[in-house]
Order: sequence, then C-alpha cells, then structure tokens
Amino acid sequence: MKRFVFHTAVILAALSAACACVKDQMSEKSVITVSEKKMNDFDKWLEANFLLPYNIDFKYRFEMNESDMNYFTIPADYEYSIVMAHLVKYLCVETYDEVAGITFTRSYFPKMFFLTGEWEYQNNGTFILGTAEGGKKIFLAGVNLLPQYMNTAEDLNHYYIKTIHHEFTHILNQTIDFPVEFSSITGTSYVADSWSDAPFNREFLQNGFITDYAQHSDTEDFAEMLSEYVTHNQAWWDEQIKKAGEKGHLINAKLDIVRNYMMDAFNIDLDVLRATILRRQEDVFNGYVDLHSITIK
Amino acid sequence: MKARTILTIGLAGLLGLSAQSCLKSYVEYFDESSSERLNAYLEGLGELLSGETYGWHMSYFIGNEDGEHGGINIALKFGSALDTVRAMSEEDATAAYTSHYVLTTDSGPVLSFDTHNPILHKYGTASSDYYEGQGGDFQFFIIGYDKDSKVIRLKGKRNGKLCEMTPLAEPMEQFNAKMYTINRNFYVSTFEGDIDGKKVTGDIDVRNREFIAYEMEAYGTGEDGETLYDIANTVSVPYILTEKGLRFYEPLEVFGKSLEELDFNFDLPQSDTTFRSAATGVTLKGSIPTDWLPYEFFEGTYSLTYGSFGSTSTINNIVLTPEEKGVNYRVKGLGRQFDLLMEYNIRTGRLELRFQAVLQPGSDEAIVDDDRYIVVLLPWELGPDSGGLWMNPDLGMATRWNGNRENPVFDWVDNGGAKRFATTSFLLFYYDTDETADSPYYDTAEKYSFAGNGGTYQLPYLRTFRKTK
Repeated sequence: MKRFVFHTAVILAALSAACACVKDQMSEKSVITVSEKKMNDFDKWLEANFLLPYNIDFKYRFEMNESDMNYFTIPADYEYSIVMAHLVKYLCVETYDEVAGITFTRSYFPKMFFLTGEWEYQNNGTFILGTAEGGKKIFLAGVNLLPQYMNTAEDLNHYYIKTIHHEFTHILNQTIDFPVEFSSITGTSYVADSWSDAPFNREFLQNGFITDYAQHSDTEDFAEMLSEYVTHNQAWWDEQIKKAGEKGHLINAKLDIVRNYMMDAFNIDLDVLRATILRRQEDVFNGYVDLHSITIK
Repeated sequence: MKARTILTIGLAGLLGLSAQSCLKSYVEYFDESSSERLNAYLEGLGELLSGETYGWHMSYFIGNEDGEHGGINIALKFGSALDTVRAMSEEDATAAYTSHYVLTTDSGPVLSFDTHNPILHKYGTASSDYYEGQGGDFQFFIIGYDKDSKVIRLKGKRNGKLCEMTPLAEPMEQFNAKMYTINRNFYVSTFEGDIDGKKVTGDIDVRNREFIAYEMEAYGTGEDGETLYDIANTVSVPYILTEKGLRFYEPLEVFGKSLEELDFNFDLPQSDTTFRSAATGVTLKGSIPTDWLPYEFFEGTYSLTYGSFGSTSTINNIVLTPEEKGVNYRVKGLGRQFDLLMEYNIRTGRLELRFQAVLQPGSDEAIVDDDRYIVVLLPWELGPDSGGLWMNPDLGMATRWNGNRENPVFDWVDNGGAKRFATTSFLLFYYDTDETADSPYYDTAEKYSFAGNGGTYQLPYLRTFRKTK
C-alpha cells in the first residue's frame, strides 16, 4: 500500500510539473525581423515574369551563400543580367511552356537561377559554365562575358543556353532516372576529369561522344546529348555523326534512348522541342525580342 | 511490479526535466531583439553611407597567399533610393562605374557590392592565370564604426584584408584625380637612413605597393676604412598612398621603432625627397632608380641587335616619335609592314615593348587578316631547350640604360610583368578573334616580318637598343 501511495504521488507530481509552464504567454512578436527589400524596376519585372507565374527566384545579385566557395566568383553585371533574364525566359522557360505546357514548366523547371559574373576557374585551366543543384537550382556563370558571346547562336548556346538545357536535363534525370541501357553503350569509355586532356579533348567524336565533356560520365553524356541535339539543326548533327565515323552509330543509339526517355517520362517530342528552340533562337537573332526592356506587360 | 517501477522512474525523470524547465530566469538587457538591433544598425549605417555629401574614401587593401598588392584608394558615392554606388579608383583618372550595394547580415553586419563594378571587382576576378583572383574582396564585415572620426572599419569576407572608409571632403572626381596623379607619379624605388644610429636601407615595390626595409649590421671595415654592412633582418609591409605620403597596412617595425605613416612631399623632384615619420622622428632618404630617364629622353633614332651571340643581327633606323605624350612612342622601322607602340613606364623610367596588336603604318587600326586574325607581337620566353608563349598585355621587355647620356645604349631585359614568365624574344602571331576557336593562338604570322636583312616573323633574344640620333 505504501508503495502504491508513493507511485501515485510521483505520477501526480510529474503531471503537475509538466503543466507548470502552460501559463507562460508566447510573445506575438518574432525575435527575428527581416529588413524590407527595396525593389528596383528589374526586381519588379522579375517578380512579374518569373516569381508569380512560375515561382522561380531569379537571383542576379551576389549572395555568398548561393555561390560555391570552392571557386572565386564575382557578381553579375546588372544590365547583362537583364539580357540573360530575357534569354532564359524566351529560349528556355517559354519554350517548355509551348512544347510541354505551363504545368510541366511549373512542375519541373528549377525554382532558382543564380547568376555570377565570371566562369568558375579551376586550377587545371578548365572552367565551369554552370551547375544544377538538387533539382531546384541552376547556377549560371560568366554573365559579364555575355556581350562577347552572344554574337552568334553557336556562342550563345555553347556558353549559356545549352548550359541551361544541360542542367535542366540533370534535373529531369534527378526526377526520373534514365534507362540503364544508355550507360552501357559507351560504358567503358568514360574518363572522368581527363576529358579535357589530350587525346580525349580532340577524339571525342571518334570515341562515340558528342562533345569532349560527354566523356566525363554517363550522366554528363546524357545531358550533353540532349542539350547539343536541341540547340543544333539536323545538318550539324549529321555532320558530327559523319565525323564520328564508325562510332557514329553509338551516338545515334544513345540519341534514341534520350528521345524515348523524353517521350515516355515527360511526353515531350525531342524533335518538336528542337524545332521550337531553333525557331525562338532565330527570333532573338532577328531582333524580334527586346532583351533590354523591363516594362511589365 | 517491475513495470510499475519502470513507470515510476520514468515519471520521476519527467518531473526532474519539467521542474528544470521553469527554473530559468533571465534578464532582458535590451529592449529589442538582436535581429531588430542589427537591422536598426544597418539602417543607420545605410543613412550614414548615403548621407555624406561627397561620398567616401575607401582604403582598399588587396592580397592573398599568391601575393600582396598593397592598398588602392577608391572613391565611393552611395545612393539611397535604389542602393546604387558609384566608384572611381586611383588607377584611372576619370573612369567611374555605377553598380549596386546592400547592407546585410551574415554573422554580423556586412557591406556587399553585389552587382558587378569593374573597379570594385577587378582584383577579385578569377582567370585562367589567377584562378583564385588577386585577393580583392567585395563583401566586407563591418567590424567597427567611430562616430567621432566617422571611420568605418571593414574586413574582407574572403581574403580577410582590413580596409576602412572615411568621408570625402571634396567631390569624388576631384579626390580621385588627385590620387591618380600621386599614384602615377610616385616612383621612388629605394631608401636609406639611420634609426638611433643604426643603418637601415630598403626597396619600394611600387607595382605591388610594398615597403621592404633591411636592418643592416656592420661586419667589418673596407680597404678605404669604410664600414661594411650586411642585411641582418628584413621586414616588409604593404602600403597605401595618401595625400601626405604613405600609410602602412600594419606598423613597420624597424630597429625598435614602430612606423605607421611616412610623410612625403610629392611636389619635390622625387630624387630629392625624404620620408618622415612625424610620430617617431625617423627620416629616410628616398632615391629613384639609377637608370631612370624622363619620357622626353627617348625620342630619336635607334638600332636594335638581336639573336644568339653566335649570330647577332641588327635592325637600323628605328624611329621613335611621341604618340601620347608621357605615355608611349610610335615605333617605325622595327616592323617591315607595321608600326608598334612602346610604353613609357614612369616608375622605372624605361621604355617597354609589350604584347600588342601590331598597327597599320601611321594608323591606330590593327592589322587583321581574313576579317578574323589579328597580328600580334607575342612575348616569347625562349630558352636553350624550350620556349613559352603567353598572350598577356603586361608581358614584354624593357630598356635598361647604360648610364651614358652622350652615347646611350640600352640592354633589353624582361619587364617583370609576371612572376613565372620572363620574355626574351618576340614572335608575330595570329590571334584568332573567333571565340568558338579552340585556342586564340591560331598560327605564326609568317606573312609579316621584322625589318633588317633576313628579317622574319621571329625576333629572338633581343640584345641592345642604341640611340644613334
């Protein structure tokens, strides 16, 4: 009986103690306050064209926490950021709207773009044009060099737009993995970081790869295949296959898998996507797109 | 029974924890939360930055593990409505660029120049030559602010250099023009003096703004009875030029004296000036390079020798005429189908032949072939067994005077444009302007040649440059 009384007393004491703080009042005021951000005209344009329709945060002002501290980067130029925002919108975001519908774009397109001014230089002489992170963010480097690399579609694609399609492919792959058969076609020829060294930097086509960087790994190969295909016309592609010689059929075999993947996983016809990108690219170079306006329509 | 005991022990533990949760008693030392106080601090700082009539002077120190570059004077004018900032640097008399800034929090208050500005991001920009940049920060922790002196102390987030800002007392253009002139015309290269009877000598690296002092120690007597000295200790500190002289990044400790600033009269000929430390009374006599020559001395006609010692060749009748006074000369007669420019380096008092696009005769236009290939004078590090080429506008060769005013002869030496590259020779090369090309090094421009008998697109081993009239 004594033991029962003791146990009961302990239980009651514990319950009452647990309730002892219930009377404390929570302050209605947060201890964390955030200063109000001043929005300039470009910020308002970005809000109207990226944030509200797509929930995409287009960051053009430098934030150390968004950058990769392994590299020494600098901020993007304000005026060139405006041009880049137009290019991303017209050549990428709205392309996918047109081909796959706005729901696809809203669902899969990365939720953040982060721009910096220079490439990310590595100590081996190579540099990084962009990266994708966690299926949500695309980092675009070298924005300050845009004026010298947007005179031709080849340059613009090579340094920027192809990079976005490349990184977006990674994001799609992170959402739905590509078939393992892809990896086995040239599976013994991937060379990791040696892709930029001789002879790999010269003989990639003859080894069954569409670019030198495609030799890095199967995931990069897949992204290079898709991004190179959709940013070039058929004549260019045929020329690469011809240069590849007897290994050309390997590149086309990988392309078939890429094509089927896009159709099966996302209901996107790769050739329709390419035609749309090339048509929009023409629009840009024909001056049909005002790349400098920040008037909200 | 056992279960009841476990339950009891568990509840007793809960009792202990719960009782503890209410024992806390704390005192609010501030009426506002830390983030409210930080935001208020930043708001106040923002008003301060944008409120200064003429803007701010920033002493901007640069450097990383790769090397020190001393301090650069930057003039800043902060706007308020849209967070814009206009910047000028002592490295250019008139150029001004506007970009954005933000006052933000990151483990403390931070001033970040967060859109690109060619002045504020110049030394933080990485390249294939400097993949970590050159030690210039563009985000700064605000580590202190003195209300009386209005000095804002900053620390670079990436490279950690300490910088500071003070209000300008004159329009930024006026201040910058003054500092540009001081910077451009400062070329004292060595100094000597004594501190409490002990001999001190030193070098001034004006390119990297570094002051290098040698504490000298007597070790014997020479044949003529003079005291012989050796270097006992070397100390070096980056500096920044001021309107009065120069200020060290940290005190220069020499023979027990701590020197923070040295006064210098920029109006006097620099061969006849003295550095003075007002705080310690130390004076150091400055000297200019022994082979320093004024710009005007170089106008005239020259002959140039080049080649290995076994087969030296000569190019005669090379004529130097002033192009931009005090800055460079047009060189006619060195190239067979083209003109070149030689730059005057006021700090060394030498002429320099650097990497450049060769010019059409009498024109400012470069020679371009096939609307694509620019012909360039390419620095060549030619050695007995190997050679290196580098397209870098800082690289080239300089003239070293023999000291004879009546019969001036100059040796060609590397201009010190890079630590790991010494130019000995030049090549005419095609620079491919097509950015899609695998490399800007297209091919040797063998269609063009240097003058003289047997002149080709190569100019190996430059030897001498003799002024003939």
